[in-house]
Parts: sequence; structure tokens; C-alpha cells
Amino acid sequence: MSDNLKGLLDQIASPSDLRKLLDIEGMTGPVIEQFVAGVGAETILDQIFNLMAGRFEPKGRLRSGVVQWNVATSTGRHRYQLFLTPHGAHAARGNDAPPRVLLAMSTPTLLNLCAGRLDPIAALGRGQLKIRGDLLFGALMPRWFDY
Amino acid sequence: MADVNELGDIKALITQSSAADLKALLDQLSADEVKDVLGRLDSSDFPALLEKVDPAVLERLAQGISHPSELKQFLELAGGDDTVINAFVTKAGTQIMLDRVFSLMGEHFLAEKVGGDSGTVEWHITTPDGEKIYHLTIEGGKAEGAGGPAAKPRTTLTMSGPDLLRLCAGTLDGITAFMHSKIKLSGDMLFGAKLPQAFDTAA
Repeated sequence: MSDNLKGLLDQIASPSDLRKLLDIEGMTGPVIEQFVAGVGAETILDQIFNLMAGRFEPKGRLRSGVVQWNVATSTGRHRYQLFLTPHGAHAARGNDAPPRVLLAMSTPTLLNLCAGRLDPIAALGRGQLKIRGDLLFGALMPRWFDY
Repeated sequence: MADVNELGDIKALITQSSAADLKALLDQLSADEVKDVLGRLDSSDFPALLEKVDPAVLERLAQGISHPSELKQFLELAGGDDTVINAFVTKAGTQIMLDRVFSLMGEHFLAEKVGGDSGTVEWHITTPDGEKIYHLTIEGGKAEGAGGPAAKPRTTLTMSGPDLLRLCAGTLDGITAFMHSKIKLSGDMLFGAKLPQAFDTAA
């Protein structure tokens, strides 16, 4: 793995850092895919989902449930689960728990979503995001994080 | 001399002239006229010229570079070959060439590309004469290049001399160079990664 890419990834600690990354001139979808392949999909996705869990703002049972994420990368599809509870959230690889909602997207779409730059309804309309299960829960969920 | 056309066949002139005759001839030309001469050559002629030409002519030429497009012309003449580019820079004077490049960087800085950020960027340039250190101070939407290390660099970029020239000429894609480690970053990498794209290299 390039030291540059690993070093850059290590400096992404908040959605604001993610926005800085996406704001770099030339950081297009294909370049993001190269970045992910260079760092390793699971390395970057682990970091992104842990960041997401840390930024969840719990609010009782209304914001509770398991969210299944199927993320397409240039090296294959990766599954993660985000467990939203009344007290906080945590992330895990895999698809063991029955999800309340399932979201499928590419890595660039995921990064934009975590950076607070993606309107999920518009993304659904464009086909960038696919949802199955509790649609309302899935559409509202991106609003429950501190960006 | 007003018209370089009076010199006749430039390629033959360079091939057939002795080093002393070539120096005597080029000494009579202004920097702009030397650029005109170079414009009539192609990359296969450049190594022969480089071998014969007096360093003082290249030094004058390097000091006369006033726009990234002229840098691009030199790189095209060198055929993109690092060995030829390094030979040109060494003969023209590494410090003279780098001083000019960092001055150009300040003149062609695009503040909007760094989103209003400020800070000092240290550049480590590897050359046949060893590593040369420069810094670029970005503040108030302006940038100013200078020789030597920065007191408190926010980020450090390391690259080869030919890649620096390509970057400033607009022929090296900064993000690709970064992804493939042609440009190495340390310090605030999210700031540093924006810099290779922050110079107006359009002709």
C-alpha cells in the first residue's frame, strides 16, 4: 500500500476531513475507487463505518435498528452492519443480524453520504442508492449523524 | 538580430557548428530569440544542442521563463526524458531553474483551489545536485515561493526535479502522481494533496 494513501486515510477522523478529501481537485469517482483499491477496501470501509458509528446521535427507539450496507468496490462487494441503539451505535463486517433496512451503493456514494453531501432521496432517484426493507427508516437515517 | 529566419536551417546549424561557434551565435540572441530557435527544434535535436550549448545561454533561457507554457515547451523538447530534463536543469543551473519555477508558482497560484486555507508548504526536490528545499507561503489568497526550509511547514511535498517541472507546466496530473507516490506527502496531507492542482498552467 502506498504510504501516501495510508497516511491520508489516517488523517480522516471526521466528516469534515472526508469533505476535504472529496474537495481535492480530481478526486472523481474512478480516483476514489483507485484510492480504495490502493488502501484496501476493508481498511477504508472499517474506518468509514466506525466513523459513522461514532457520529450517530441516538434518540430512543425511533432511531434503533440494524442497517445493512452492501458496498460495491472495484475489488468486490463488501457487507457491513451498523447497529443503531438508543445509547449509541457500533459497526461490524458481515450480514449476520436481520436488518431493518438494506442499503446498496458504490464507495464514492458511501463517502459522499458520510460526508453529509448526499441527498438520499435524490440518490435513490438517480439509482446511486438502492433501499430494501423499512424505506422511511432508511431515507431518514442519514439525518441522524453529526456531520 | 531581428529575425531568426536569417539563421537558415536551424537544425543543420546546431549539428554542424562547433561549441564555440554555437556559443558565439547564441550570445547574439535575446532570450526570446533563443526560445524561437528552440521552438523550431524537435526532441531528437535537443540532446545535441544541450551537449554543445554554453551554460550561460541556458542560464539566460531559464531566467527568461515567464509562463508555465514555456516550461511545457522545454519538456516537450526534452521528449519527456528525465535524463535530458536533468541535464538541461544542471547545465542551466539547478538553483536558477528552481528559483524561477517557485517564482512562477507564486505568480500562478489559484487560491480558490485550496479553499481559502493558508500555511507554509515545504518542497523537497530531488536533483542530480542533491535534494533542494524550497517553501511556498500561502496567506491571504496569495502564494510566495522562496529558497530554504520553512520555519513551521504545514505540509511537505517531495518529488523529483522533472516531476516538479511537469507539475508546473501542467503536464503532470497531481492527484495521479500522488496516488502513485510520484509526489510524497507528509504533515497535513489533506492540505498538501490540494496543492499540486493549485497552479494555473493554462496557456
